[in-house]
Amino acid sequence: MSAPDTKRGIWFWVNVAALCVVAPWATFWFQRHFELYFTEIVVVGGAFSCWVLLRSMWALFEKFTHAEPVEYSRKLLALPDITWALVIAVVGLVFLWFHTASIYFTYEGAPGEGEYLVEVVRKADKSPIIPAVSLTAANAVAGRPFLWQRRVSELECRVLRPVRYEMLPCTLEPGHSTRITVPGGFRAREFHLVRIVPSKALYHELAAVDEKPQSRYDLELERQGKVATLTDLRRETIYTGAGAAEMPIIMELESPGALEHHLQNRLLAKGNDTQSAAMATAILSSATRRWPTFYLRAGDQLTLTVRVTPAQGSLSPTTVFEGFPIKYTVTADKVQTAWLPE
Amino acid sequence: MATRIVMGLLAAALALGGGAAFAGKPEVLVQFEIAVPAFQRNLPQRTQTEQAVAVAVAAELERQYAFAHWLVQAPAQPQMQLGRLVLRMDQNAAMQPNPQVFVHWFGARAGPGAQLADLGFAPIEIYSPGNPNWDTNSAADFETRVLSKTLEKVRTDAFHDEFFKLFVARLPIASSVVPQAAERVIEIPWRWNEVLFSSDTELVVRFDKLVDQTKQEGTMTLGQIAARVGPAATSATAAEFPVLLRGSITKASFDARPITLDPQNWNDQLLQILNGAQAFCYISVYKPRDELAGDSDRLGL
Repeated sequence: MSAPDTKRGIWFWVNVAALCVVAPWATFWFQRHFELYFTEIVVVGGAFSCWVLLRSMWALFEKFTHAEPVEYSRKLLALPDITWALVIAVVGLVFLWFHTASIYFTYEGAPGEGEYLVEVVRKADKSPIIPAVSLTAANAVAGRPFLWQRRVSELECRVLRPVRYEMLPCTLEPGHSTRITVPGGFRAREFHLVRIVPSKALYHELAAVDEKPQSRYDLELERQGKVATLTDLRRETIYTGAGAAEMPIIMELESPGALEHHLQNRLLAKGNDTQSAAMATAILSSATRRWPTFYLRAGDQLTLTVRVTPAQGSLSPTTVFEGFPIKYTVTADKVQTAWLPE
Repeated sequence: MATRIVMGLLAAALALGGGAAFAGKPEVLVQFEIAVPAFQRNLPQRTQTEQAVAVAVAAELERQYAFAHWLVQAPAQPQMQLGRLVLRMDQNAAMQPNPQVFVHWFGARAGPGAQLADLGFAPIEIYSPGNPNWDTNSAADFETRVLSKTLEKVRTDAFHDEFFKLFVARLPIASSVVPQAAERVIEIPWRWNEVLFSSDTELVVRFDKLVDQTKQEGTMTLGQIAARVGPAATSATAAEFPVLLRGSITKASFDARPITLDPQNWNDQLLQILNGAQAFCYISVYKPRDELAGDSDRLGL
């Protein structure tokens, strides 16, 4: 064997070895950041299409050039220039490896939940980097790769619907792929359904829902400086504990018959007679109102105020009802009752 | 004859208080007051509701005590008013778990400066402490409840007896009486056909007068209550009962000493005793006249 042949043999094996490293590495990089973006069907279908295309071109090449592909590829792999090309590819791959990031949501599902609307926003300015996207069993992956990432981005991952999950702090980190299962990756939100029930002096004064009251009683709820107002309070049970979007979810916490049971027991325990307690229970459980206010957590301090506006034509000003404002601390109970006044 | 003339003149002078007979029935003002703040603030048409309750109670009392008109408006002629009855709805806030809402009865005789006084009835409970379902915003429900609770009580015999003793018997039905010596009766200036007393009714006249700068008191019990045709009555007016009440004295005393009565229930000293006295007439036993019975026999018509 001549010296050039020996040299070509060495370059050949160097290049083959380099390819053996670069090819799986590139595959791993692709799989890490792109596999979910180019879903399986695209990968399989695309690879098959590419193979057919390349195979056709290869056949044409053989036919028109009378070249022997195996021999040609061996010659090609034995060239030192190919080694340089591979070195450049490795450098490029190293760069991409450390500057590619990705974030993906994968559908996991939970009983009673078939679809999740998820989004990712930057923590700093709340601008979306992945706008709201629906995640279902049929569309089980959402997310994308981000090239040329130079530093870690602090993000907030949110399940917009259903609204029963806490926001998840997440990051977009160069060289890493963030995978979040939905909803398993999110912590379930803490919900408290607070029933507000008028009692004693306030109950005496309020009109039933089918009556036309002279004076108007408005209920104010203040938490951390924010105030919500419920106009025209009647002899009714008010449900609150969340914003409008969450109200349907927290209402699921109320078991059928639980309100009646609680009212009846409480009224009897306080010394009301059986017939009157039954009547008050019927009134308060048949007239209920949902009042979206604030998302309440255990320990939240609430200030409840009832304001009385006298009948039209009266010169009396609006006043705070006797005994108010009162303080209420949200407990750890899922369903709790704030009696006004206690 | 001369004696009779002198006695007649003396009787005229003794028309204590000097008033003429009243046309119409005595009148008692009935009022219902809401003193519970929750109802004062919220009850729709409160004034009308208070009046409606008063009207219903007055109608029931008029049925029981027909000698007077029980009215909810002050009479046009104040001298016709015997007194004032006030049903005041109040609350006992000390009760638990809810204040007790009840009706208290107050009364006052007519006249300037007459103070309302608690009649001493057991309160009528409208809402028990165990009942939080007050009808503060429904006039109709409130009126129904108050009347059912109140009239239920008012219609009992026990209430009837107690109400008479504590209120009716304390109202002076007249502040003047006229001793008619010739007929040996005491005349009350109310028309017989208006007050509708039966002859079994008993009246008490309490009087006092100054004797040697000392106030001396006396009483006369009048029974056999009957009608008396006025001196000027014609047969036509008599048929319309233009007659005054009169009663025979069944018992009398003055300055803590009994006055002896002759077989005709009279004592000639009475005119002298009553001369210059201030007298008030009260009902001590009330028996309404049976309206189905005729009066001709009593009047001798």
